[in-house]
Amino acid sequence: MTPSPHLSRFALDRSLGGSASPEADAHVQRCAECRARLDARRRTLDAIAAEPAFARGRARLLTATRPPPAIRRRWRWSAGALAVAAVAVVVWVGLGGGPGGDPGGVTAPGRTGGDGLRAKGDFALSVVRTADGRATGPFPPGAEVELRVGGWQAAALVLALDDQGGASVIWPPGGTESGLITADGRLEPRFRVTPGDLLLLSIFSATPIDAEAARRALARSARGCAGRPTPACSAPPRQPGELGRAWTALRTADPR
Amino acid sequence: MTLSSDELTELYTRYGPIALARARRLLGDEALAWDITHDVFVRLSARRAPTRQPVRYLYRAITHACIDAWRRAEVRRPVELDADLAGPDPFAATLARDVLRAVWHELDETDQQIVVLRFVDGLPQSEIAEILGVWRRTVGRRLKRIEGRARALAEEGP
Repeated sequence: MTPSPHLSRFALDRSLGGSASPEADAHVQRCAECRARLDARRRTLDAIAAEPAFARGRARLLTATRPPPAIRRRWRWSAGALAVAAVAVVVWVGLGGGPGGDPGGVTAPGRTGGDGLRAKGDFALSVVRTADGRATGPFPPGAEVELRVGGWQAAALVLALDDQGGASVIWPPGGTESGLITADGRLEPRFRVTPGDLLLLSIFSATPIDAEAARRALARSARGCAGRPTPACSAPPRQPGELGRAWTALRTADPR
Repeated sequence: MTLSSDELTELYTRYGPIALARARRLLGDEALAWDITHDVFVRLSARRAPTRQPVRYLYRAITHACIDAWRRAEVRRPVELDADLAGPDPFAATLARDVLRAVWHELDETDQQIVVLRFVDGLPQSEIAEILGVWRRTVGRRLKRIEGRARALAEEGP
């Protein structure tokens, strides 16, 4: 199949949805055929929106999603993985400069990686409360938080370590390898803070890193910790393809 | 529910036609297309955090739901190459369609999504990777494997 020189239907839909890429916008400006296709697509979608059945569909949706009476729900990670909360947020940023990296160090300058990608600054991982943008705790249970990474434009893998040394992959949720970072460094989905101390590690790379191998490495390293895991005692060996890493520690706020 | 009624109304009004058009096109079944669009928006409304890329989310979710419908045999319509993707060589297009049909049931969910996005929608690998949230090279690797299997079947003949 020969690649089309014109915008795909997905690109057209994204353009009509208000999230066109700059490249797509520029292409439409100079391509008469794509402008015509965009107009035709707009007419098609407008016609659908004008169908009586569309209004009925909207009413059906609103009825189906009407919230039930308030119920008490357990706090949990919306990604279905882990409990998180913070009394204080302590961020360690380290560059994986060798086996185990330098988890207790200060911020380190970014690097140039493979694939022509460049680091934008220091490797960083932070947890930000979405309600007010606060990046330091304590965060009460139930607070919605967002993971943010910085310093790298390609990919990241975020692991979590609980007080008992249990390691989990928390981003990408359910992923088998590191995920691509969006330009703003915000990792979806957001999470709900729940009780339980947690240490978060983000491993940055330009190529996919095996999530399960990294998780196992973190769990193995954490077995060497005498007490509560810290970056210093639980740092896993450098992973294949790893270009840098950053740590963040979270503690649960006392809900009382 | 994360979204308020007003937010959901706005989301559905803006993106519902895109979702419905896609479901109609993939399924060729009007009633099922409405049901699938409804279900996808119900799930979207239940997300704790609204997606920042609704079109990308809807492409993935609608594709997934349509494949699920095919699997449950609610729709007998086979996977078809889009007419405007048939290109100048109808024989090649027919061959590709028949062979892809033959390997369809051997594919896992991700491969099936890739096949739909590549051969039904005609999307480039970069957009497929973006929609599915995987690496472009992962898409390329899987496509190569699928096409290799399809080619082997074609060489085996009927």
